[in-house]
Amino acid sequence: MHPHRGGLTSPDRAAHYNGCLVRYLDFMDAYLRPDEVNHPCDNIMAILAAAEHMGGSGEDFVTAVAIAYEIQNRLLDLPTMRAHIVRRHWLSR
Amino acid sequence: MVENDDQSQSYLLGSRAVFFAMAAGGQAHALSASNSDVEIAALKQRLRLMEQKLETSRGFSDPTSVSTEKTMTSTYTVEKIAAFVDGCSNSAIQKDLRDLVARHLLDSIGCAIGAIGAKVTHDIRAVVDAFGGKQICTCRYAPSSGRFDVAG
Repeated sequence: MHPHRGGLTSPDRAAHYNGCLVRYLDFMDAYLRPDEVNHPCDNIMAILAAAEHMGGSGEDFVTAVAIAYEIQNRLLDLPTMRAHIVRRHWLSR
Repeated sequence: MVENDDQSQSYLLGSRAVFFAMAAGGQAHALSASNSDVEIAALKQRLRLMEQKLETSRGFSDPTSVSTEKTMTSTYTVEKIAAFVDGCSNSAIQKDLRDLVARHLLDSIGCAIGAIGAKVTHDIRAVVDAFGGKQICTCRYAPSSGRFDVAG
């Protein structure tokens, strides 16, 4: 293990572990729509692992994060199949 | 390889178009053996239309083109997303947006630091260590050393 780091592993596992660190408290950022929510910061650690693996610059990293946020949040704007489930959940209370 | 495949496909479609043109009522014109330019032109036009119809039904937009890469249209959302990503460059992201990304990055790092000491994250780290993997990407925190690595 590298003395000055948290250790090294494969990109997917680094993304998994670091992503879990970000996720654990459930305090991360959120994008809200009616009946829906997503957490676009889930992309960050995956992109960080990819950028480290590819030797990407900080600029590349920020660009990739911006693109990922754009896409994930746009996808949330699409009509959802979950709306009905949420509504039923609230009615059954 | 791809070019050859496409050509043979378009030849195949061409011969099928002739067959369908004859089967679909073109034989009356063919049997009459008329040499008039007008009728030949009309038959040619009819063939062209049928070829187009066949090729659009098979998903080819341009029957004369050989390269599939240039003519492939983005029909699925995932293809449109890929095209969007491919068209983005560093210059496409403005300074104010970069500052916003930095803010979200800082927020995420704060969340990750907040997770230090949680048993679940130690367990996940144990799984990652147990399974190994090619050592090329940095884990941000090592429970054993107590170090949180932000800079990478």
